[in-house]
Amino acid sequence: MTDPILRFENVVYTYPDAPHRALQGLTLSVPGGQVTAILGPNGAGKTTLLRLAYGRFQPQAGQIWLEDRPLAAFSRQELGQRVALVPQREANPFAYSLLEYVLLGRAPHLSPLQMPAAADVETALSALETVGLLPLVKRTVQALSGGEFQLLLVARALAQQASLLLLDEPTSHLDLGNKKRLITCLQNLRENGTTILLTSHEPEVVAALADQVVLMRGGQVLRSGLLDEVWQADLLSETYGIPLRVWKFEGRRHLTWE
Amino acid sequence: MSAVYSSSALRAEVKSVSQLASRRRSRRRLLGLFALLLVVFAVSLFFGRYPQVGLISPAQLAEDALAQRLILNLRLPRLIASLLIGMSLAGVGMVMQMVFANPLVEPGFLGVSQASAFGAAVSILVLGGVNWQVQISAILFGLFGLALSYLLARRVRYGGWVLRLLLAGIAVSALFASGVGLIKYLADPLRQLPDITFWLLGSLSSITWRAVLSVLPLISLGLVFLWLMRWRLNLLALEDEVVFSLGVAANRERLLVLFMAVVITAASISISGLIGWVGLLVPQLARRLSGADSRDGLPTAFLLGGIFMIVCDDLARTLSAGEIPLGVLTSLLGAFGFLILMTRRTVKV
Repeated sequence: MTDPILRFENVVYTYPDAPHRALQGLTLSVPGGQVTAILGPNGAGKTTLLRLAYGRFQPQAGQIWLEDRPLAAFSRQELGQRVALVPQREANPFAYSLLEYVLLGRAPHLSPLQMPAAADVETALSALETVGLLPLVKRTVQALSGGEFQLLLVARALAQQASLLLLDEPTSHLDLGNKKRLITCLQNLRENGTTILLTSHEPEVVAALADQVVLMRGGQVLRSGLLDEVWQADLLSETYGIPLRVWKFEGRRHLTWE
Repeated sequence: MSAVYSSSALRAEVKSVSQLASRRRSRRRLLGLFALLLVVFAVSLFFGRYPQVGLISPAQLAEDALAQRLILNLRLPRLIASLLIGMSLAGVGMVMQMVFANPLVEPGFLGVSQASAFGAAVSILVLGGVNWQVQISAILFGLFGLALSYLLARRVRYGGWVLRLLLAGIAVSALFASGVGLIKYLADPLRQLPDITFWLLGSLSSITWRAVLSVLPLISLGLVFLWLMRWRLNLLALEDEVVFSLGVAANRERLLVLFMAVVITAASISISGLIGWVGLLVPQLARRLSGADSRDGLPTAFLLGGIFMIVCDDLARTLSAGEIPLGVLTSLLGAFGFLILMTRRTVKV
């Protein structure tokens, strides 16, 4: 078991003007070099947790540690070099080329007046290659399908070369082929020592990929642990609030409702 | 990784096609535009009414002292002013469209244009129409308009930062526009009102070396700064959350860029009066020529803006014996250009 790279201790977060807490006393540790998946119903606080993990919002109470330093002690740029985010969706107002869009992932490694150099272009191209978008490179961002755009966001995060990769429902728009490609890509990243923290609503993706699973409900962690310990019908049923059954078919885990 | 996609041959081809070739193409395009700008500038220097519409020949220039003075003291400062203002408005328009992630934004919104107009009108009403006083008043009120928009935006409790600034800008513009209306109503219709109207329509007819030199350092500095930030602009066009996750203090950098942009705008407006449409049209045109990447888009906008403004001013001073207000011409040409641009088949904003 490796040391935790990211730790949440009794973290409380309430959105401005919101009537209730999004996270209430959440404690969590994300082991380095592994894949940790967060499962939970809509509104459980999964996305909020990710936002706090890359320093977008500061907790009102509790502590967040990254690499054994308080998260708040990192500068914006230092955080960008260490933590990369693949958001659920984002607006793209202008018709950037794919390469240009992925190059933006180099920003944390460049000073404000610096331009990306040939080495940065090289990094961006291999990120595009990894997610399989290289053949589409002449298109613009606005000509991509939803799934292709999601892969592009992954490529941008890869170009960031961070040690901790956060993905917010990364497979939500992907077809089966691309889902498999992304899972393989994330597995390769883990082999190379990248820590991955992702949220998902897709049990098959989680079961195929995760070392650790965190079950969340109502802004708190219900249970966390190794996949085998947590992948139990009663725990999952409690998380989603409906009766669920766990199956194993040809060595793969499935989850169905009754 | 899948073998289908990762052949190194494909990669080499992609690289040559997308990256190197397009950079080379864009460099050639920029050089071409720069050459065009030089030609337009040079021709415009010798072109005009003296007393008939036409070019002043070198032979004529050599012996005609009046023509020499005309070119040196009237046309040259006026051309430099058109160049500066065209570059400023087009460049700032591009910057603002990027920062607000909205291709329909123009430099004067955020209250700057209307606040500058109010400042100029107040100065004409209260202090009389002394040029440098009108100019300073326009700059100060322009900055005040920005500050007001910014402070208001911080208090708006609706939408994200960009939307709040937009809303505040609209409110502040409306406020100063009504102020201008009131001053026009109060102004002496024989002495002051023509001055105010003239200023609101925009013109370079009474430009002097002193006016040009008074804004030259500020505008040049601002333009160089924006040019240095040109790659960063691509980044600032993305959503807050994304910019933030890429290790960039989004709002601080946007505010810095916007402040520079507004200083340039206010300085330009202060010597020319209100000139519309350049800052909206030219960036659209630039993006269509060069693509969305503002590494190419911003320099393209600078050059196109300069060319467009010089040509407009040439027309303003030669089409009729009297001057046609420059702002009227840019709006006319700009609106037509915009319509053509928007109704063409492949619109890439």
